[in-house]
Amino acid sequence: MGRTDVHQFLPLTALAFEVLLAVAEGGRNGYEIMIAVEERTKGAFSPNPGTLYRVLDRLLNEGLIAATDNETSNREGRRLYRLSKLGVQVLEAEARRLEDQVKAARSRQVLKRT
Amino acid sequence: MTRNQIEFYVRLYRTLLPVLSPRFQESYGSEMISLFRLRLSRVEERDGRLSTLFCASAGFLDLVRTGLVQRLTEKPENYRLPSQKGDSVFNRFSLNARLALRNMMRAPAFAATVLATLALGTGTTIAMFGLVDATLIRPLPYPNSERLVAIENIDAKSGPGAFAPPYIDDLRRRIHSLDRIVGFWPSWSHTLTGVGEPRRVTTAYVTDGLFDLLGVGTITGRTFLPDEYLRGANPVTVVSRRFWNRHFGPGVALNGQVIRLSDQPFTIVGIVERDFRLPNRDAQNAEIWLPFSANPYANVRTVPVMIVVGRLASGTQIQTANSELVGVAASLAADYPDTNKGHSLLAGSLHSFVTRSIERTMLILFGAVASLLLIVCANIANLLFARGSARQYELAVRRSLGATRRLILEQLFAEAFVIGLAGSLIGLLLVSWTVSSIPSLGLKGLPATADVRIDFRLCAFAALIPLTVTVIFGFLPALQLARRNQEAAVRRGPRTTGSGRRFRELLIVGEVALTMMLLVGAGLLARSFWKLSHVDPGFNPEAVLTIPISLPTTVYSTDEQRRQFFAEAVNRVRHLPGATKAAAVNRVPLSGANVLVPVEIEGNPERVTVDRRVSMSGYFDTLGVPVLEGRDFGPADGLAGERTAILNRTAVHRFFPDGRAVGKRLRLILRSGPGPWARVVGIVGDIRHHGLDQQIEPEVYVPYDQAAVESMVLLVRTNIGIDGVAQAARGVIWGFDRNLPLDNMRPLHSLLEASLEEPWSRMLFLNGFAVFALLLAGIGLYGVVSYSVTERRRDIGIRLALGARPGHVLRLIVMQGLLLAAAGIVIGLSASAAMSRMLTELLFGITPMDLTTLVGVTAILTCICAIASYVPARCAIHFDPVDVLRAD
Repeated sequence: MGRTDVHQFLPLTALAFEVLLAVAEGGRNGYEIMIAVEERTKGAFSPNPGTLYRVLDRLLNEGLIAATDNETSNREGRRLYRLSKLGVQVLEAEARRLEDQVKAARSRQVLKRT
Repeated sequence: MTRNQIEFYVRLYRTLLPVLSPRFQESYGSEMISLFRLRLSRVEERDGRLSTLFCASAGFLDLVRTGLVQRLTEKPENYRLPSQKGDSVFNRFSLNARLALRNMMRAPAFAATVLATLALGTGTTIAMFGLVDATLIRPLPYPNSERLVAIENIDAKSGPGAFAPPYIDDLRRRIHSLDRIVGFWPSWSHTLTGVGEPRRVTTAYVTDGLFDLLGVGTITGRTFLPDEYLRGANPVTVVSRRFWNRHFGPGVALNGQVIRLSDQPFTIVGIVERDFRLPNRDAQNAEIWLPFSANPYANVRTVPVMIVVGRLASGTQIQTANSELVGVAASLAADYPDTNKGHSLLAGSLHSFVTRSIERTMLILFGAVASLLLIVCANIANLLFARGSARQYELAVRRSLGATRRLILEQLFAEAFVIGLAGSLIGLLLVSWTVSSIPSLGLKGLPATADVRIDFRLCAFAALIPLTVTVIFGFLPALQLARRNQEAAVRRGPRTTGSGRRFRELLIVGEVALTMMLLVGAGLLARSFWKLSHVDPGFNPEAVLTIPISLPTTVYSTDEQRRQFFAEAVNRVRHLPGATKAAAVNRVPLSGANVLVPVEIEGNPERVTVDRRVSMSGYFDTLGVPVLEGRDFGPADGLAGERTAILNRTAVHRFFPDGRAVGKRLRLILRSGPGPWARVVGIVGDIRHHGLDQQIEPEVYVPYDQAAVESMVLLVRTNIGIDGVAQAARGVIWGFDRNLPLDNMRPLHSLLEASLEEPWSRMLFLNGFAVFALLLAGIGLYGVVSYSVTERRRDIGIRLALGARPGHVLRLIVMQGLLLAAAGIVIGLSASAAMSRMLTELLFGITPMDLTTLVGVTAILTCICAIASYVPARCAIHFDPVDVLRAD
């Protein structure tokens, strides 16, 4: 995949970014993703099942994540989702894009340096 | 318990899952359920049951939203035809509905015809139902309205009427089956001064207890105190909010403001609730309410100006009240023989008292609109059936390819449902738009209490009709298909069978019959209206301006002052540029104002009743009424000379059978007793004072100089147009007295037009329905004939190939259509004859079996049917036999 391919996915929605972050550490099922998102955002994001699975479905279709098939799913019969190679690149590109924006905000004194 | 609660939510969630597309549901359904369950358990543990409920609700909403968004954004490759296995009913329905939408887009002409027919049909039905509901069905807007009754004072000679005000006390004392008895008069004209320009306003008089009985409250202030209903009390009034806002301004506080009515001061003590209307048709304009004691006739036993309403005591039936009223009427007749001999009393529900004048019209119009709806249904059925039949082939192919009967039924159901829903929505939109802009839909004569509005029941009614129609008729072809051998259907190709055709032909016969009935009704009303509008009113209403003037008795207290004023005013107005003639009369024709007085003719002790009018010299000439014998009033008819009178022709016919009235004497029995003898000096032509469709009553005219009343109407005939003279006349009169209200000046012909408004709107309504029905019947017949022509392409092609003359084929096809039409016309005619009695009351000058009308509408309908059959027949004879045969 070239650079241009990665950029066509940007910008990610806030929830998609959080989901990618949550599965970056390894395979997680839907419930674990939800908890991870909730914890990282300190409760600001608590996606309902419908919304969460719509995002997962889109990310799967776009090839940013992969799911274990049913045979290898975990004991509760739930599939595990993890980042694909493309997903890693997209996540990194999005993080850089955000970082760049944050830097710009800092340089204009919108954010005080901590 | 909490576990059960969570399981309940989960079960609900699972039930809702089919809102997701099957693919999504299959991929994530079970995971979503388990995530939903875990999430609920966590919230329950952490925050308790209430939060669980909120969390579950949020989950449901999220699921529905996801389903909708996801279905809308799903890529087209995910579309497919529904199959019975694995798809939920909901899902199959949604797929079918989308399929139906696509099918409709592909046949826009068909869709537009069906939708327009449905929308117009349901729209008119809902609107009419709304009117009927508001006038006849919904209870009156008063508390315990089912117990309210109106008491009528029925004179054996002249029919039901009102009461003279003092009788209310007699009724209250003598009637025990009613626990409350109140009286009112809905419309009394006064001159309003003290706020802005002087103008005429409509007021209503009420007795004590009325506001209470009808549940009327005030926005600010109060209604009348018990003392204020007594004679000699401080004059007070309550007004409507509209009146208050217009004259004092919306934000102004109520603080003892005073208005002057006919030059008498009244203190405003309250502003009544919005929308309050007295239970009477004439109560529409009243915006000022006064205690009845302020009415000039409050203590007069001979002038009936009070409508009496009561409330049945609890547990009492109306029959009990009526049997009591028999005794009361007898005792009143014994106590007051002069006024009550031959009178009876009758209590009837207040609702029917208010609505009876319009009831017949409403029922006829509703009947008409119901027929229209049936025609719409027949047409829709025809269209759907034709389409369904044409699709037999397609459906048969589907079945033979493995679609089950249930799947096909579901598909047709969804299609019909989509069409019906769309039709009803458009219809509802049409209605809500019209009802919000013209609540009565232009129909005149509705009771003041009628409040047309779109409510839940109307919407339900609106949704139900088209849905039922389309679902039933969208279904029929499928049921037919189920009975038939599909193999034969496939082999036969896209053609219908005999039974389908017969069904559609029956529909057309019914449609034509209903249309015929509507046309007969509409034709009769139209002809009756034509006759009515050509009735000679007895005067020439063109180019005459009427100027009602009411002199306040406080300023013009003597007869002499009034005489001087009117004599001078008429004289000055007569000499205005553009004015050719001028005079004055106390009641102009067709104004609805009439005063009946008893009259004694010399040599005949029996009293008769006549309409009394006061006119000035030149009145008959100004109005173009012929003086048939004797003379008009002149300068000699003053107070110094003998009292004089003029009779109309009807009075002469009725009271002087020998026709010799001039020179005879008569005297009027006035409030104060018998007046002086007056000599008849002239006979004039009849004027239709009471309405063009009303009988002419005997009338007596007395000269103004001998009866100086305070209210007169100046009449000016002009040759430069009404507007030109109106401005100048206003200047002249305000030159005398700037405080006189002149806002009611209007051309005489507008009174004539106003009297025709009600029959006109009635006729327009029914004719609108009839034209619509005619159009639909035409379309329906066209559809049937052209369909049968397409069906018989092969047959016609062969005939033409074998040398049949095109003219012959054309005649054959047109005759087929006309035969159906003839059957419908005959049925429609017989049905109209059976129902014609309904219309009799609304007709003028013709009978319900008016031959001209019947022949006329038959001809119109036949023509339309002939055209509807001719057009497809023309197409048929242009078939190329070779093409047709090759296509097979």
